[in-house]
Formats: sequence, structure tokens, C-alpha cells
Amino acid sequence: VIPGVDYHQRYWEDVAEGEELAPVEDEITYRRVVMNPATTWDYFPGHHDPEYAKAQGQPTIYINTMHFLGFIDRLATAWGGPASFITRRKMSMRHSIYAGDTMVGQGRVVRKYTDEPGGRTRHLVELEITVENQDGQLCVPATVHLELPARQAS
Amino acid sequence: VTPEVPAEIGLTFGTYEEARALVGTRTSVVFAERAVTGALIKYFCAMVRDANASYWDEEYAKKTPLGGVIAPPTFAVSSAHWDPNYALRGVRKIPAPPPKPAAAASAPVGQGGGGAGSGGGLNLTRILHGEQRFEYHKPVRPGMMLTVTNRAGKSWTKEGKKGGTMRFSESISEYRDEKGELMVTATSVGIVTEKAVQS
Repeated sequence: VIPGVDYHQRYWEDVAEGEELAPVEDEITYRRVVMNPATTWDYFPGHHDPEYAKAQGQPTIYINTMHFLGFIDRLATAWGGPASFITRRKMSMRHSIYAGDTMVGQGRVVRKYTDEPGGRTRHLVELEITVENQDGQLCVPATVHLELPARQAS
Repeated sequence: VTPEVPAEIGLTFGTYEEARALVGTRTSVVFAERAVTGALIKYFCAMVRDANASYWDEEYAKKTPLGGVIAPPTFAVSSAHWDPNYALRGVRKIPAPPPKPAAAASAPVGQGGGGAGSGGGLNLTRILHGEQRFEYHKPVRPGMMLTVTNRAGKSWTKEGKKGGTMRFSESISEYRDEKGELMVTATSVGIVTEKAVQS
């Protein structure tokens, strides 16, 4: 067991439609915004150069798409557990998250279902996820399909 | 017949006509210059603060149905880790700031970075990033040598209130492992407006 690592697992049978995911809040400091280009090699200046961002008409630097995606994945699999697997995700960008903002992720189970691609039964949930800023402004709506382990393998 | 276009062109959209000319074209395959590694995976996860044991603990991950450490879904899309042609790596020319701050003030979210094969020099006031869809067929794992190809998908138009006619174009990226097996399909919808969008 590695300290700080999350091992809690959820099983498909234990999920109810309508269930809320535990919300996740993340403070986006200047350091966090700049960490993102550092870890994704995305040196588009709007993500690390406040002067450039202001020349674009933005208040300051903003996080990149991969940070939003990674945050959505974190929200979904922190709830589903480490053996869950994201099979599909869609998202659209409505509003940016800037340095100094707090990113708030929330989610809800809207559907519980199974499918059988190639004869293998998958146990899935469809999650509706929102990423908002501290003012409750919707920045990124997303839908995630998550495969969960089942207690009874069929 | 799918004519090849150089990878440097990517499938970013200058004008609708340019985007339309790309429909049916396919970029040459971009090959990884190095394998996915556990260290790069942890580096990415530390930034997002993702404590998922399947990214961090090999001993644990071996015993789950996933069968070993995997990369988070977004890892493949953060292709600069493995794509030697990635335009924004920092060693290549970055796009100049927009010339007219007043016009650029209407720039929407999205801003033109990120994504496989995305280049610089976009007309920022007239390109919006629409929906992005991802399908994850198999997990990306340490040791894999990824490849990506980009191709244009459907394109269509719609009348918008603010920006006049809106042209939609899909760009589809397919990520495969070294055996050619499909790992991720990413579809992104670019929107080009007739006029600069006033928000």
C-alpha cells in the first residue's frame, strides 16, 4: 500500500441510478496552471504567459483541455475505484478556468446498463459530470461511460 | 484513395474551404519516439492530483481485471509525451500573440493549443472548439509505442445568431499501439464562424 494512493473499489451491483458522486474541489493556483504545460508539453503561451493571455482578451493564463480531461477522469474513477475503466467520454468547452479560480467537479449516475461487445459482458454506468468555477459558472459539461467490476461475473 | 497530407499541416482549420478540402485526407502516421513509461504516467497524474491506484501501484494493479499499471485516459491525447512532431513542445515556433487585442477580446474558450497534431497560427477569433468525443478501446500501458493518424470527418453548416453561418468540421485521431491495435479514437468538432464572434 502506497501512502496517499486511493484503493477504494466500487462494484456495479452497489450503484443506483440517480446516485451523486463525491464532489471534488481543486484550487488552481498559478503554479498548477504552469504545471500543466510542464507535464503535457503543451507550451501554448496562453497556458503559461499572462501577457499573452491578456493580449488575447483573457484575464490571465488558463488551464488547457488536457487538465479538464484529467480532472473529469479523476472525478469519475475516484468514485468508481482503480479497477474501473472509462470507455467513452464527451465534453465541450464553455468557459475557461483561470489561475486563481477553484475548479469544482460534480457528477451523477444517469444510467446503469450492460453491453456485450465481442461476446464479453461489460457492466457500465453513464455519468453526467459538470466542471464549474467557484462562482457556479459551468465551464465544462461532460458525459462519461465507466465500466465497473461486477461481484458476480456473468 | 486517401491522398496523404504532411503531418505538419495537421487538421486545424483556417477557413471552411480549407477544412473542406481536407475531408477524406489522412495524415501520415506519427510514430512515437519513445515508449510510454510509468514515470511519465505518474508525472501527469501528479499534476491532475489523481491518486488512482491503477496508475501508481504495480503490485496492486496486477491483481485487478486491468492486469497491471495503466495510463489515465487523457495520457494518449497528451501526445507531446511521445509524439516527436508535436507543434507546441517548446522547441518549435509558437504562435505569435494576436495582433489586435480588441478583436481578440471576443476569443472564446479553447484558444487553439492542445491535441494531437494541432498547429499554431489559428484565426483565434473565428474558431471555436466544439464538442470532443473519446472512445477508449483498451488501456494504454507502460512499454507501448503509440502511433496516431488524423483524418477529417464529417462537415456541416448551421445558422448561428452571433457569428453568422457556422461551419462545423470533425477531426478524428486514431491512436494505436505498436501492433496496430486501436487504443483510442478521439473526435473533435471545430467550428468556424463567418464573422468574428462578439460575446
